[in-house]
Amino acid sequence: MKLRALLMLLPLCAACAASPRETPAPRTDPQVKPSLEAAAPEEPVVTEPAPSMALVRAEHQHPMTEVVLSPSGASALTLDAQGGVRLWRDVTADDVPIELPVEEPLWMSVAESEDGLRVAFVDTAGGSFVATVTFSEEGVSWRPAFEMPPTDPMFELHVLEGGARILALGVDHRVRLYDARGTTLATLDEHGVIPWQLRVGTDAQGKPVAAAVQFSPVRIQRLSLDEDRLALVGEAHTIGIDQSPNRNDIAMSPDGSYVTAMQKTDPKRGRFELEIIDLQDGSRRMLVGESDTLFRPRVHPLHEAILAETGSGQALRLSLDEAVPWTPGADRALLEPAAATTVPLSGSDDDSMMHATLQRGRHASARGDTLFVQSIDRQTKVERRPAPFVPVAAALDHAGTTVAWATETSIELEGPGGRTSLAASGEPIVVIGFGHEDTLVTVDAKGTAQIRTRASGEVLDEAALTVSWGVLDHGWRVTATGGTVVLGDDKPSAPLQVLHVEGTHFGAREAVATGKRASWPEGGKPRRVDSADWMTAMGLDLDALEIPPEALRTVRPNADDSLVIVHQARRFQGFDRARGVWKRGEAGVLTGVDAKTSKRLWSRAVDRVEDLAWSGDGSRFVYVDGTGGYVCDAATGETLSQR
Amino acid sequence: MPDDRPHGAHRGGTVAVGKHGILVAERNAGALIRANRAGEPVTSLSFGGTVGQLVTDGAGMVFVADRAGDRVVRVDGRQSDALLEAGAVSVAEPFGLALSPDGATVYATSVADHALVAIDVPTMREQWRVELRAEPRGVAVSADGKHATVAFLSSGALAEVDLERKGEVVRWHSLEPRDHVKITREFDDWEGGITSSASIGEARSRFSVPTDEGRRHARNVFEVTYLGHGQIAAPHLLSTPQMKRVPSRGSADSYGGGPESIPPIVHQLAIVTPRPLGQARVHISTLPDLHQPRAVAYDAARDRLYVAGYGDDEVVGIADASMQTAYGAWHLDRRFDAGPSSCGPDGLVVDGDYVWMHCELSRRLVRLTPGDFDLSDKPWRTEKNGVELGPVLAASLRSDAVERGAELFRRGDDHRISDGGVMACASCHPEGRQDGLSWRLGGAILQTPMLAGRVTNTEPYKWGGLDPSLRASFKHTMLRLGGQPASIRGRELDDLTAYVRSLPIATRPTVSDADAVARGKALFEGELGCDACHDGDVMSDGLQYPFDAWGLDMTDTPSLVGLAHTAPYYHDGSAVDLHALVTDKGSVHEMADFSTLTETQANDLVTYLETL
Repeated sequence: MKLRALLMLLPLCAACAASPRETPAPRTDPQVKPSLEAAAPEEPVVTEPAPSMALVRAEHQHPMTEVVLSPSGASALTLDAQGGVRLWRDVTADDVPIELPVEEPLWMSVAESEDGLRVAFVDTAGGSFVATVTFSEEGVSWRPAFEMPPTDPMFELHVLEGGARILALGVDHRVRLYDARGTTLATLDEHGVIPWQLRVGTDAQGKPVAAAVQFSPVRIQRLSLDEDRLALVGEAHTIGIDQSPNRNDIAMSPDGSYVTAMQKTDPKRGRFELEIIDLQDGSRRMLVGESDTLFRPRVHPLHEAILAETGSGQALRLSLDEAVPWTPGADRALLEPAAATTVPLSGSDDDSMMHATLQRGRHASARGDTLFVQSIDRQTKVERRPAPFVPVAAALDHAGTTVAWATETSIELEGPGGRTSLAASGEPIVVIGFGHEDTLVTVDAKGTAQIRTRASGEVLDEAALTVSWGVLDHGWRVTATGGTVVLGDDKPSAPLQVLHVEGTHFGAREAVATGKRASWPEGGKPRRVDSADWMTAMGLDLDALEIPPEALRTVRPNADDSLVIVHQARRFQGFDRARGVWKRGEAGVLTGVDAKTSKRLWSRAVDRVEDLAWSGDGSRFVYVDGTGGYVCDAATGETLSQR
Repeated sequence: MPDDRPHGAHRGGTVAVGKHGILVAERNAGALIRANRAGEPVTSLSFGGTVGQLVTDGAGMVFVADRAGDRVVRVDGRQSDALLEAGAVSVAEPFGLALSPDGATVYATSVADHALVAIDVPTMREQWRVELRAEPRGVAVSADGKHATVAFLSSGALAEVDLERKGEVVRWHSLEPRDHVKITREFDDWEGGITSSASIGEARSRFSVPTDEGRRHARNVFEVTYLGHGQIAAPHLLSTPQMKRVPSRGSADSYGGGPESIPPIVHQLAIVTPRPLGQARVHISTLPDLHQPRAVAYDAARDRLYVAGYGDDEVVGIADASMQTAYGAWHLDRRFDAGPSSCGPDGLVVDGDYVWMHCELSRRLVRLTPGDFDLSDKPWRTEKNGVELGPVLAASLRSDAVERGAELFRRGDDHRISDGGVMACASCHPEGRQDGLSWRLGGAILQTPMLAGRVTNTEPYKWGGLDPSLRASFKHTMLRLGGQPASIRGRELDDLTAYVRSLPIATRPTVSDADAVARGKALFEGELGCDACHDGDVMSDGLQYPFDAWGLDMTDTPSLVGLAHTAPYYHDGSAVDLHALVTDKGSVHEMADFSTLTETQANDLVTYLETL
């Protein structure tokens, strides 16, 4: 769903290279009928020369709802309940998926290509686009290839194996074949042929195969994509199904040799019938299965068998050898269920099986935050779920390229070189910072301050700060010779403590008088000081920024005081007329401000902020809130990475 | 971030702050009017027919979309006592206007040609144009002058046109959600009754039977405006035309499944944040206090956005509009009586501490004083003071009956018209046209028909030809909407009749290939014999035929007037465009034999049909 909220007041919160008119050479068996006078569809807009943008890795923030495997089964796209899309380059690898700049697509497809991974999407208004995701030592990049407007809406967009061709079905029922730049290679637009759905696969020679589903009556029509031409192959085969055509009841084998048509006419029995139609010669066979549930099975045709997910955490494997010759109209009731073996499928239930895909013997489904990937034949399986990670404090190095996350149990350093972990002291860390000489400075909730090496975590020095009621506001500031720890206490009368760091050792400590606390904004605004006065002391104008005084929480300038981040907590309330209820709440906001002009640069919604820190050069900042940790660009407020 | 540069000149509207006062494009008076800051008319320039938007450079030059005259007119308003025409350029049925930041180019949407047209201001000549899609309306230019965003009535996407590349690149930003409305039925064993409830959830699996049931569509975007950060604000309606039918409901048929907890139409505001290489991020807010949000105004200095409800005369002020945490903070309740003196706001503009609102129906200016958005108080509080109603600016070109009918046609919150007043006639027929959607009506899925230019001498009405008169058709529609048509007075039905009959025929697109039109006409009237039924001024014989049309026993011959603007086609919207129709890719196959048409003939026929 689009990012949504209730206002009032919930804020919101190229030309045809091979014209289909050219008559291909006559063929014999099977008969190939050339597509007739195909009107070239509207040419897609080619966005060239293709600039690119860096992508970040980020777990889904909401439960996954769809999984689409690439034709090879190696990569996948997943969609979550809020419309977020992630790319899994290797579904079996233990890394964080890549967040794509895509919003709640109606259709998505992925395939490996020579230059990375080609992805294709249809948006909610029917517009569609194709992009390439490339991988290099510098990171992951997104490069748009071409797009088609919603004036030429699409039902489906398939990136074919190899990534060099894209097969599309328009809402105008024309089938089109594009190359990776968006050039229309062929169009199928025949009178009397009205495809509603496509089935796509790869034959034994590695060539793409496809079939089109037509309605009234329901038929399956084999298509040829040879030599980048689209043509009908043979006659359409009538299909008997007991509900309207859909991708499960009419499924095609991976090599395009046959389709299955399922019927499950008795909802009170587990019996289901699979009519197998050979797309080469039109011959038909029948397989009957007996499910251990009453759900309509999820059908996956394989090369030698048909896998039927039953919704009970397993699938029935029905060998094609068990199929019996079949003539339409014969009495189905006389057929006995075939012998079947069972294949346990982790993550499969009656809901997830309807969102699962199977390619090259690899089955993928999603449930909640977990992606289940299982090899059908080898019985190996991988469960990809985000590792539990609850950061409580964070820091950035000088350039902002390495981030230190402190959790309840560990310190994790994440940078270009990968991740390393250090054990924490046992008490929750409230302050963490990058010190000089490859050190980390930490302070825990009991006031124990430590300087330790980044490499091994060896403690080089330790000091004790006083904590009365608990740590309230806090921070770490890098200086030329070391840095400064700032610690505010929840006890109103307790002074703000400042602990200096000189190189790898702690130095002097001081208690800051209320009148001088504006020099140490990390320690927060004293309770008795007016918000407007506090902002004035920071050199900012509360009114000009239109920040309600009662909403101000903290103000955090960067090292040279050129940029300031203001943390607000804004109240909202209003009447939801549709639901007939009053809504109230508090919304967190981080606002970046140019300190010289007091101009807002950006704002971003946040949850309850636990920690916020700048990179030494002021180009980035990191914060930790109730939803995780975020590294952001200081100029735009955009997320660069998140945990 | 609110942008420092003034946004007022970057898009037009029906009201603008000019050098010498308030400028109004008074559509129903067919005039450009300058008013003083008491809202009183000072001087005017008549165009003789309806106008669209105006835009001013703030230095005295004004541009007006002479909608009826098919021109964009430059008006010299530098003198305080006169408005003088100073050049014009032909644009077929212009509506939306916007000015480039340097004032050198004015951009106009052409309703007839489905296009954005760039006009060189010094010469008043067309520079370039780009065809977009049917029913374009408002247009706004970004603060850097690099993009123009166009709004549409019958599309769920906004078009963002690259101005530096003269429209060669257009990016589309969908406003439509993926998730669906789901109706669940619950059986009450104690009472034996059945209750139903609605919720919003994830779209069905792609392995389930495909259905449009519960799918939601954004429509009726009249105006857009840029905010800070290049964001675009677009108030709109979100329609769920095909909810699951609940047979236990008493009404024989119903729009969108009836008055569930999620109504068939909700009113929303989209804040679109384009990303250079990725899909735009879209934040959606419901606007529960507004009916048919249409006019918008952005106060860049305060980062406030104002939105007015055309259907209920209410205005909402949204604070921190360009922020991720924008929130409604100010609300003007309706304070205008129902009837011809009510407002029907079609324009808003910020003028320092004031907001001017233009009332389409009463042809008045209203000065609003939002004051501070006091968050520490009750933010939903209605501002009780500071509403100054000006005098009538000009006499309407329309009759009193038409004016009354227009007011009734747009009226929201009227329980006689629809269940709970959720829907107004104008919700699905903005400007008497159509939303491009197919709605569930009982057992049938039927497309919203165009009314403008199609209701005179075309009886009977409805797709099945069920209603012999307009009066009967109005009452039938209100019944379908869950309203109380028995409570509608006869005079009100007469007024509605007068209004819909007064709606002008949709302007035909500019013909670029007259030979193709002639060839297409020859096919239409000759080989294909379409004119056997689609004949006469309204292109309909007024008869019904037993086509194999799902849900209809008989199908009334629809008028083809304005056909270019009414995609998709057929009673159920099954042909996505005219090419799909003439290549027999819709659900109706007995109407004519298209199988013998060559590609050229099919294209000729489409070209002709677009001229009807």
